[in-house]
Amino acid sequence: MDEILPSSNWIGRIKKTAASATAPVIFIGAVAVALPQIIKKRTLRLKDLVYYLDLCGTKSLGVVLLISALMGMVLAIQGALQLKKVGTDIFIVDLVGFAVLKEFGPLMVAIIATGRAGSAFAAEIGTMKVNEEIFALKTLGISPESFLVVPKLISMLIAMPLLTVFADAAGILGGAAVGITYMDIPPGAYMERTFDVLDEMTFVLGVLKSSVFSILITLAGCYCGFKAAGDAQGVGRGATQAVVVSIFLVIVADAILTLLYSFAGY
Amino acid sequence: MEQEFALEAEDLHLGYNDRIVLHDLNFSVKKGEIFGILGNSGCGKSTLLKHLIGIFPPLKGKISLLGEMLDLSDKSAYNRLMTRIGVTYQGGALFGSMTVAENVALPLELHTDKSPDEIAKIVSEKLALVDLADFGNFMPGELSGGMRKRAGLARAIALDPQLLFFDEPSAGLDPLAAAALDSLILSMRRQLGVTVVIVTHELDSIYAITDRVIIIDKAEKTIVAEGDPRKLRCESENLFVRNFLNRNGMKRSVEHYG
Repeated sequence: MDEILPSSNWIGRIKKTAASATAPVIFIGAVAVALPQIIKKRTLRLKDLVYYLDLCGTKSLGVVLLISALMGMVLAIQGALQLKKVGTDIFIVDLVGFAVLKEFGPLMVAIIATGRAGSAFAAEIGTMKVNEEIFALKTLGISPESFLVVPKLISMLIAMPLLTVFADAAGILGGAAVGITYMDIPPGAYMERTFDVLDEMTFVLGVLKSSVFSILITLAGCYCGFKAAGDAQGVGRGATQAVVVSIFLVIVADAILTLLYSFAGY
Repeated sequence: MEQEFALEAEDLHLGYNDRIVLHDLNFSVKKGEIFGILGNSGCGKSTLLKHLIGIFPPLKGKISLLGEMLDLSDKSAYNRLMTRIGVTYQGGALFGSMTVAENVALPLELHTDKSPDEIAKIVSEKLALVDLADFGNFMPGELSGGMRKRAGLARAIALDPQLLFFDEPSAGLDPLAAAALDSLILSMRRQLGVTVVIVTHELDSIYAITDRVIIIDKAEKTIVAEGDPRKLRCESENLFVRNFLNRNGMKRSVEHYG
């Protein structure tokens, strides 16, 4: 009778290995199919959207502003130490502006979103699995991907780029605080140079990065939740795994996007 | 021609993690029947239920629900089929972020074109049916275990299913609450004409409500008896079946261990 087990022959073992290797792709495919359907059928629950917008956006705003401002200040202080040596203090504006808009704004938001939202998504879905709520969704004829992942994805796609805008502003203001107080650059001159050197495209490309990060964090968080073992330890491991995987994916995506931008001349 | 059976299982072999849990299962449930799946703890009753409702695919064999072959590769066909089937879970499996009324309304919102007023009316009716009319605005966490089970039942019958599955409906309930749930299941069949499949090992419930049962023996990993439980308890030739249905655990222990 054991011959019917998947592990009893090499074809079964290959099928099993292939199934686990393709599981993330199938999950992404299911979300990609669910997204247009849920928008077309207008079955997106507004209450869920508001809840996740609050979780990913409003509740993260304070810490995003604080960390981004501090990052802008650190960048300015480190830059100032070097630029003072060659008497090119004013270029601190360029350094802070480009670094915040192109890298640190989207990255800081992504790291905070991973800690707040990515792990929360994994824990929420993992707990639903333990409580048989995922089974209940399936047997109600509701796709868990469309019901659980799509509202989170849409909320993150709205919240993270918006948070990035705030992070950019806070980072630049943090850098300006150092430039004005520590390097004696007049406030008017600092802001004038900021608007001179930073163009819209630099800003847009940074926000675009943030959109890509939001997709990665949501998918990684939800996938780790669905794959979590059905007990309390499994939920904890799923949440931890979501953070690790999300940060890894964000850094890889950042490297790829930065290379692509540089090939395109940005 | 109208289908005679609500559920048919043919040559089922079930298992996961490289382990066969149950094998050679063949049984069918007639329309309108209350059918029990019984067996000792850990024999695979809940595993069988999860396969029957399509949570897991069988290793081998076929399952037919309401005349349709269960095909997990066709998700949209599966989702359509499941709108005609209701499932209640041991702990209720209510969605914790929604109120009881929102839980019951969910399948109606997603699978029907009914207006919010019509949905609210149906939700009130279903909650009244399970005696939770005043608890619509409660969160699942504010309900007792028995109330959560009944709320789960209200959600399961929201779309007026033709086939209802219960996983351990009276587990963890006091005798009065368990008896009330049994009465509810009987009235559910009377009022809605549904076929009911119950996974349980509560003998009182079995004798009170089931028409027919299958009994699974953990040692054999398969069905060892099928029929009317009231007859099986006296007439079955299988010692395990007679002991199980007569609650003869002590007697069997004495016979086995001296």
